[in-house]
Amino acid sequence: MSVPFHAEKMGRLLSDLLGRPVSAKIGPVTSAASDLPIVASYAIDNGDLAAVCICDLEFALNGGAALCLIPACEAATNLKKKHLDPLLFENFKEILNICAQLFGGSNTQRVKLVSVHSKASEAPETTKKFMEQTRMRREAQISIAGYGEGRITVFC
Amino acid sequence: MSILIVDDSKAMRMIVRRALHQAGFHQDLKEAATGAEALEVVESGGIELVLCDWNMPGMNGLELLEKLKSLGRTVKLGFVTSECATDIQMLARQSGALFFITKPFTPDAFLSALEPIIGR
Repeated sequence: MSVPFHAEKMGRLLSDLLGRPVSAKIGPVTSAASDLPIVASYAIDNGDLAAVCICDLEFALNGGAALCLIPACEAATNLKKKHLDPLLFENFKEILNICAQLFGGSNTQRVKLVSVHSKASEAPETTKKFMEQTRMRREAQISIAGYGEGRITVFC
Repeated sequence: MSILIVDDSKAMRMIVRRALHQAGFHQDLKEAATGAEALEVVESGGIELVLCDWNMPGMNGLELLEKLKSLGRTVKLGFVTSECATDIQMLARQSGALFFITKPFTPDAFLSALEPIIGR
């Protein structure tokens, strides 16, 4: 199943969720999928995958901190240590959950987040296969005001 | 008004709490992480309004609403959820939910949904 992805819509969604300006801009694909640790899989009601998102540590930490107004320095400290703080990761999963709206809507199939993994190697085989077989791949640079940036790659 | 926030995500409970503070509610806010826990809190008495997530492990929001109805509890309930499908919203309303707020929500949208319930 192919679903559309609009980076601007993601920016608006995240701005509303985080209560601060967020920009999402499509850019050239610069990263190998294996470089990005967070893997989120989205599926329609019958279980068929509709989209997979891979995010970098920076987006996860900055987004996770911004969601609950945790100081940006916490995210920065974790980023320096290349450590995915469990609390920030839990918060980021909520962001990923809400991002399911980007892949569905009232007039299309309902899409929901079905799994999140903090290591690409732990992603299910169905997810890896989906990424290999999907033609549409978009990479966006996310910028969260007051926190920092990050990257997301969307397979849909 | 005594309000119960029900969501399995601690982050979302915090966000809903913050939105309630912004809307002027600073007291009598309780939280529950599961439908079962919410049921216990409601049964212990005093809750007038429940703000509930739709998708939760175990007892989901709709099941909580149905359970409260079956027990004859007159507590008001509305959903605050990432679900945005119109069929879900219709199901919620038909089941007796007083409002359906989709995450993410602006403070104004949140207050607009609550105003008819809280009478401000």
